[in-house]
Amino acid sequence: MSNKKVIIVSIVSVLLLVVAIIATSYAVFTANLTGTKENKLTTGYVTMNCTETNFNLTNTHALTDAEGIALGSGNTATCTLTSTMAGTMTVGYDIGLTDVDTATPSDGVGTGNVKIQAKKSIDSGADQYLAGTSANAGVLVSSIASSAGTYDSTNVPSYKIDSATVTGNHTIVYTVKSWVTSIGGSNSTSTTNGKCSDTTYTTESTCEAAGEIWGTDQTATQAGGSFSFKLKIGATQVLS
Amino acid sequence: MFEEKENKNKNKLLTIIGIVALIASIIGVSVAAYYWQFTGQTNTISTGTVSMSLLESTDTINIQNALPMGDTAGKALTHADGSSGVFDFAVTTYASGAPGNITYTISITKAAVDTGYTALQDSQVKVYLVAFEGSTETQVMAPTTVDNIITSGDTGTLTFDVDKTSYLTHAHTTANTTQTQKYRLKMWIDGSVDASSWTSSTNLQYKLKINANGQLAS
Repeated sequence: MSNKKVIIVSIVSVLLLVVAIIATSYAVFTANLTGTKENKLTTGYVTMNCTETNFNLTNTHALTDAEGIALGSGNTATCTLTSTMAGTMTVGYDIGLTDVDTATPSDGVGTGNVKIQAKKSIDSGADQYLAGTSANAGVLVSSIASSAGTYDSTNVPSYKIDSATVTGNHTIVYTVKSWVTSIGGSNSTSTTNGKCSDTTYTTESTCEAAGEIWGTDQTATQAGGSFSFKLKIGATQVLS
Repeated sequence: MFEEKENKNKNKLLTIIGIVALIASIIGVSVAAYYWQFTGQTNTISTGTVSMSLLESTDTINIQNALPMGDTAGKALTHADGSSGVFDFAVTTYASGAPGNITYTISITKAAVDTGYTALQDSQVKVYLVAFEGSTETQVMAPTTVDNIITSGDTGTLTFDVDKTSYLTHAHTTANTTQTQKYRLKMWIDGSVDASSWTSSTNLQYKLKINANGQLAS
């Protein structure tokens, strides 16, 4: 064995010995340290709620904006939207009309015959008019048909009234008034031969003896129709 | 050397994909973190029924051998004059709700005379309208020659006396009400018409119809 080989073998042996010592040392020293500080995460909550009032107005007729707006509570739907939050979150929401005229879509009162006036008041603040309405004027429901929600277009795909965000605890009162502004369709007409001006009498002799008029009656009737809608809200978290 | 570079690129790509997947995962979880929807109750608005009727008497004016007469005699015409000297009709309005005032107008339309007759001139015929209840007649339009009613075309609106225009309004201020107003039309040849040239073969005639047009005032 040459000297060079001896040197190499010695170096390798020394290295192996060092490794063995280290390995042995590591195996014989252990330390387990447990921290004393707790780190915890407790969830907050976000609650959105709408307390609403609805209306069922019957036997109405075509009204001007001024008349419709002045009608009182009989044509007013409200949604008192409250947000309650423990923690901080921004919630974006859309409010609109849904199930619009689904019950009687083919009668004389449709989205082109009905107007709404929409407004909101945040935490009892001043009224803010929505969807193109004002204090003195409404808009036809048909005019907002293509307006979709900003934050939740799935639940408010059309007839949007408002899109907004809310952070923290607030009370937002939405008010929607609705009235018929015109009646579509044509009148039905009927003719009755042999009728008395006082329907108590059913024969010519008794009718005329009572000083009433017996003859032919033509009647034009406007039956009108009905219109309905619901308020719909879709809300979701807005990430910053 | 090329292999080393290729490995580095692979590592970079995997790192980017991992980060993107992590972000997508975080966003996905976050979007689903809060969601709320509300659907309210039904709000309904429905219109009421409104109707208007014109009831025309079976007994129409059919005066044979008519000659000019003064207003006093014309206003006194009754059912007993000739076959019938007057024409009764009634306007009735109905509303299921309380929509307010239904206003209407009454007009006359000239009709073509029978074959073999020549039409009298509008200025030669007078009409007179009263409202009546039982045997009580109330003038609502003073005797007026037709040329002052039909000023163009074949139809003209009757102008009620100033203090009688309220007859043309039916107020429906409570729900489910019917209102009827009875009218009596009288028609005669004006007393100023010179009939001295008329003979048995003159054959003059005048015919008209009544119309009623109403609307719900908004």
